Amino acid sequence: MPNLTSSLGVGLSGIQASQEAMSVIGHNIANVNTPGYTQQAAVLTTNPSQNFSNLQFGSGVNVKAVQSLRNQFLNLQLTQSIAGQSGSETRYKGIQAVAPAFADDGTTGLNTQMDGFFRSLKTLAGNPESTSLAENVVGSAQTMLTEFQSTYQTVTGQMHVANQEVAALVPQINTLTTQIASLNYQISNQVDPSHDNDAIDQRQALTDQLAKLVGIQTSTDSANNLQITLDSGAATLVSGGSAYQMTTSGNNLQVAVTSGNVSTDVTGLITGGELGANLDLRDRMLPGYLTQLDQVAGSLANQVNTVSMSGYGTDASGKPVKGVPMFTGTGIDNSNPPDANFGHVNLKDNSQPASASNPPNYHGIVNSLTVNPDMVAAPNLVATSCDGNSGDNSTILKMAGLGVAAGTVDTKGDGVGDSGPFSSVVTAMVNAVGTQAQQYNATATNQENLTSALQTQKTSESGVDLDQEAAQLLSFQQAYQASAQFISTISQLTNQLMTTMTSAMG
Amino acid sequence: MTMRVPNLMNNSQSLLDLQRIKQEYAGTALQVSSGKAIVNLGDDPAGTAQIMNDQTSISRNADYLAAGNTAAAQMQSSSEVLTTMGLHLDRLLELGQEGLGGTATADSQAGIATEVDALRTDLISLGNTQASGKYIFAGTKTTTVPFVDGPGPDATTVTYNGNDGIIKMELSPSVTVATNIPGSALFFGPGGQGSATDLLAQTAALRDGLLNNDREQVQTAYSNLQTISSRLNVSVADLGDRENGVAALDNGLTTYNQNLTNQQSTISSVDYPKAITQLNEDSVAQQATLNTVAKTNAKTLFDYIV
Repeated sequence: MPNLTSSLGVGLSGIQASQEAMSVIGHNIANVNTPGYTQQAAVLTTNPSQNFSNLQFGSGVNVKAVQSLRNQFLNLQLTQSIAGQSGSETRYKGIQAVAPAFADDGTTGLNTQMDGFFRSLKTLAGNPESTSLAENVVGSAQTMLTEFQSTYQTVTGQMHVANQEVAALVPQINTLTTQIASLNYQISNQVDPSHDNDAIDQRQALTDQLAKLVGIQTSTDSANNLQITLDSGAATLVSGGSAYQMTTSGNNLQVAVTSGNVSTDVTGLITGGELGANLDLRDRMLPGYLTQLDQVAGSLANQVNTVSMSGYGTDASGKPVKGVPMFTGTGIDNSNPPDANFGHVNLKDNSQPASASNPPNYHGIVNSLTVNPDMVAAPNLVATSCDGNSGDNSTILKMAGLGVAAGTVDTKGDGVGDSGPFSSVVTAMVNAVGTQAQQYNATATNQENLTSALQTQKTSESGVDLDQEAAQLLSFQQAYQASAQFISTISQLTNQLMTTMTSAMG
Repeated sequence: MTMRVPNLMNNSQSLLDLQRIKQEYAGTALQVSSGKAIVNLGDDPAGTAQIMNDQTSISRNADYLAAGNTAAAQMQSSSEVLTTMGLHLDRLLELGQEGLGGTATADSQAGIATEVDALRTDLISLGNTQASGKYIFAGTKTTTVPFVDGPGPDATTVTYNGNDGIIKMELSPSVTVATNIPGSALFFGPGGQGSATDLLAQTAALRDGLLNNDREQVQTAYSNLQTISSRLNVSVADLGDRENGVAALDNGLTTYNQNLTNQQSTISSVDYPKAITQLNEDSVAQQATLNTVAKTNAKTLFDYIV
């Protein structure tokens, strides 16, 4: 039969277990608002029983483990959802930032200004002898180019912002991967790597932060190391206790991941997160808008110049002179080495007009387009007639007709107009901008809903519920008090026994 | 199964809901304050494209209306000259009849010839009519004086410095209208200068016949002028048809543009009753959510542990 002393041990184990359990509850309460914190629970188990006279007597209780209620599959889903959400949100914000430049309210906007230009041509056709109407054509052409260039600069400005974001994100990503690798080292070196709950929670919280910045895939190895690769699988960011640094180079920042002496360019190989979205905005989405602006403006300039040069304007004395190009500008051949399949369109002297035999390279042409300075100085150079007669308006009518003609915009870069009229192409472009904004807004909202649902599920399974903690605190408080009372009782019995024995011996 | 509802869960979900309500409220408020149903391109890309297409159509139609007005003004100038020419021709025919009358004397014939010559000079002046600074019967050589009378008194020939050019205006992608009548066609007729259809030549012939008391010449000139008068009436009618056509197109385009404007307004303008109702709903939802959040997190079991 257990003696009184061993009974004291049983009582003591109860006090200790309750105290430890209450400590866990206190830890839970303290972290009720800690991001990523997973509710912990003390796992109680009975101490091994003791055999006295073939009877098994219990020896109390102990805390076997402090366990977290963690759902790894849910964490994996959440990480991917966060990357998807932040990627869509960033893309949406990037498009939303340039969308107002494409808006057309009938007062400003590309179509409005193009309409204004073609209207000035039609008005001049009504009075081709008028110098003031020719001046109006030159002014409208300049206003139209200003609108194109303003829109262009808004888009290039946003590309610059995206580039700056890339520069800012890479150090943040490196900091996070380094911290995660450090936690990997700490966790995997524990006696039981699966029970370093707080470090695992911290690592998960950092992983969620990382997923917001860059699209990733995660997996856990047998030592409970979190392995992290880019979402495309193109490079490893964290492996065990090692973090592989991201680097950037060049003005248009190229992103690489360095492992040892090997550097892997991953610029086009990141889909999710803010980094993937900013690279996508900078290298694909926004340049797509620029290409369309170049195509419309370059085609318009080329078409108008061709008609202009087929007709006649007049010099200062009113004498007919052969038509000159209305627009000057050059495309930028940015291929290196120069692509032999693309001509270098030079609208300045129209020595190389875009044609099927000289496919245009309109890249960047919007920025260089100007109204021919000769025509600005002498607006009567605007070609109105086909034969030099002052009242003939056939050339200016033909020029004005370009505004409603199909097959005027070369979207394939083969020197042949394949789309149009200009206003329809611009409307389609504006529609595409709006549709992309709508699409990424919807995707971001859906991803937000998914993230919220997963977060709710995670919180429901693993979050700290103060009511639950209070109930358990009461329970362990009572157990502690009962164990203390038990010890007190055993103590009294021991004292009484000692007193009795002292009296008997005395 | 009972779902655990930890404290963070309430807060995060409620905060998300609150943010969405505030976002919707702000969006609706912007619609109300701007009067526009589509504030951002992404709100309704299809609607935006429709508005832009309508705007382009309205703008182009306005251009065609303006071209029609220009054409109408130019034709009006020609029309006024043709009316005056008609009156001159009527007078020439009266004078021709007088010249052919049996009672005419050599003196009276000379007097008639003088008036005929004056009418001829007037006709040449009419051929040199300018509108908005350009010669309207010079073909496309609108800055050149088209008709120059021959030298000396009783000149019989004129020099035509214009051309046969037709000036056209576009009234739609498929409709053009000629806004001028070249002086060569109007004054010389299909036979060309110096022929029986040449108004100025036949007027000179009438004058010379009267001066020379050449009854046959007067008769021939008189007959030719009658034919020319009929042709002039055809030209007047043709010009009138063109003017009516422009006016009809003007009415049609104005009505069509009004319809397009209404259609555009339907898409682009905010529906105020709907928007204000939405604002009220969002406001109520915001209040309700705020109250719910406050009450949900007001008490825990810890509040009852003494």
